[in-house]
Amino acid sequence: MRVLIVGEIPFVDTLAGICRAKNHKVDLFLSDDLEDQAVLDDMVRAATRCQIAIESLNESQSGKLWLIEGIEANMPAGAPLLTSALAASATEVAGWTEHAGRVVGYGLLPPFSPTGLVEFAPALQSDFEAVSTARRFWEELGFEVVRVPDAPGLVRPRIVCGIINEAVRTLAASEISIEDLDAAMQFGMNFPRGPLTWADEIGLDVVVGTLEALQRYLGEARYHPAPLLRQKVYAGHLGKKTGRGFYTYEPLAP
Amino acid sequence: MQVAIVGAGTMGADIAQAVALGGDAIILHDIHEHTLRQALGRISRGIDRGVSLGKIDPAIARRAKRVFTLCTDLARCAAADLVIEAVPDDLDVKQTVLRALDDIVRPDAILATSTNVLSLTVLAAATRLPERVVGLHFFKPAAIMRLVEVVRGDLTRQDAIDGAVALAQRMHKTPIVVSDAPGLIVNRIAQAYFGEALGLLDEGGLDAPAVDRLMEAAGFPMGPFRLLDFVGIDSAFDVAQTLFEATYHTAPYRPHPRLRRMIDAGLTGRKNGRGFYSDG
Repeated sequence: MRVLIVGEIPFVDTLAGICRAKNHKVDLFLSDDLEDQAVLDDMVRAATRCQIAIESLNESQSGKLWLIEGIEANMPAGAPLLTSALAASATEVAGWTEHAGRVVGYGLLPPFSPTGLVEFAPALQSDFEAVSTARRFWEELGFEVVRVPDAPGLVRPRIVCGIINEAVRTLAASEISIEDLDAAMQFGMNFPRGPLTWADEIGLDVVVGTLEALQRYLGEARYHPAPLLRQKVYAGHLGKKTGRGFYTYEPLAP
Repeated sequence: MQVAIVGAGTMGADIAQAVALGGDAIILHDIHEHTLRQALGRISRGIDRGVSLGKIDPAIARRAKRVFTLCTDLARCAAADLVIEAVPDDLDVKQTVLRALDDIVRPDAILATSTNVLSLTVLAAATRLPERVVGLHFFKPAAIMRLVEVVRGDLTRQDAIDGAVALAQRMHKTPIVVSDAPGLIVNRIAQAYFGEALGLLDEGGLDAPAVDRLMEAAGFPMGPFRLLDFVGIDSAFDVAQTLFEATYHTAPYRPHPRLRRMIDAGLTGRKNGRGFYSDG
C-alpha cells in the first residue's frame, strides 16, 4: 500500500521503518520540515496519491488541526486517516475534517515495535469501512490491536504523561537529582524506565500537548502541565530528538 | 556494626533479613515473643529462598542466620550503634518508641525510623536529639526491593544521613537521599499511576484487567490495579490521604472516592483475598 506518514520524531520515523519492512511504499514527512513551502507542496502531492495516511503530531491542538486539514483535504475518497489520539481525541479530529467517517484513532508510546500492541480507538463518526481497513492495516504490520475508548491520550500515553507531570512537579519541588528520581521509580516501583528518561523519549512537547488536551477534555487541575515542563518546551529542550531534554544526548550520527 | 531493629512484624523482619545479609550484628526486638519467633522463621525462609534461587551465597547465608540476638526488653538496644524502628505506622506509637529509644541508646547512636506516610521531622520532634534521627523508607517486599529513600528531616545532621546511607549500601540496596515532604518521591509519583488508572474506570469502556494488560504490555511488571491490590488499598489510600492533607487539599492530590468505598467494604486487596481482583 502507498502510505503517507506525517508528524514527529520518534513516532513517524519508527512507523515508517515498520511499514517499509512490510513492503509498503512510504512517503514520510517530518512536521518540522513542513514550514518549507516546497516540502509542504510535496506532502500535499503525496496525500493525493496515498491509500492510507498516518498522522502523529501532538505538540499542540492547533498544530494538529492545521496538519489534519492539510492532509485530509487532499486525500483520495475512501482512504482512511489514522490519527494519533494524544493531543486530541479521534472524535475531535474527525470533527475538523470534510469526510469525518474516514478518521480512526490509534495510540502508540515510544519505544514501540510491532511485537507490541497498538491502542485502537474509532471516533464516534468512523465508518465501518475505515475501521476495518485500519484494523487490518495495524494487524498486518504485526501489532496486536487493542480497542480502547476514544479520549485524548487513550490509556498508556495518558497514564504515562500523568506520571511524568507529577515527576516533574516533584523534581522542581525537591532537591533530588534527575538521575536519582528516575532510579527511585525504577527500583522503588519497578517502573520499566524512569519518568524523566521516558519524557525525553516521547518528546516534552508531546507530553505537554497530551496534558493540555486532557485538561481541556476533563477540566482537572492535575493535568495542568508542570511549569518546568513548559519552560523546557519554550527553551526547545524537547528531549532526545533535539539532543537535550532532562538529559543531554550525543547528536545522532549523520 | 551493631544494629538494633525494633518491631519484628513483616516490615521489621524483611529489613532484618537484608541487614543480616549485609554482615551486621542484629538485636531484634519486639514486645511479643511469638512475633520474634515468627520473624526468625520468615527471615530463615527468605534467606533459604535466596540461596535456592542462586541469589545468595550459601556461606553468607549461614553467617547471616547467626547474627541475631532476640529480646523483648527495649533496654537491650543500648548496645546499638544504629537503631531501626519498624513499629506500626502510627504517630503516637512511633513517637513513644522513639522517645524511649532516645533515653536508652548512646548519644552518638543513629535513630532510624521506617515510616511510610508520617513526617520524619515531626517524628524526630519526640526526641531530645532530633539531629540524629533519620528516615528509612523501604518498599514492599523490603527484603527484595532495591530502593531505600533515606529521609533528611529539617534538623537531621549529615553524619546521621551518611550512617544510614552506608547501612543501606551494606544491605545491597540503592539509597537515595530525599528531603522530608509528603509522599517523599516514590509514593508521590506513584499516586499519578493509580490516579490516572482510577480516572479511566470512571469514564467507562474499560475494566481493571484491561487497563492492567495495557500497562503490563508497556513494561510495568504489575498494572495499576494489580499493584493496588498488592500494596493494599488501605495503604495506598493512607498515602493519598496524607498527600491531600499535607497539601491543604490541593486538587491534584484528591484521593479517588472508589478507594474509600473499597476500604469501607473490606475490599483491601490481596491480604484479605478481595480487592480489584479476588483470589480463587
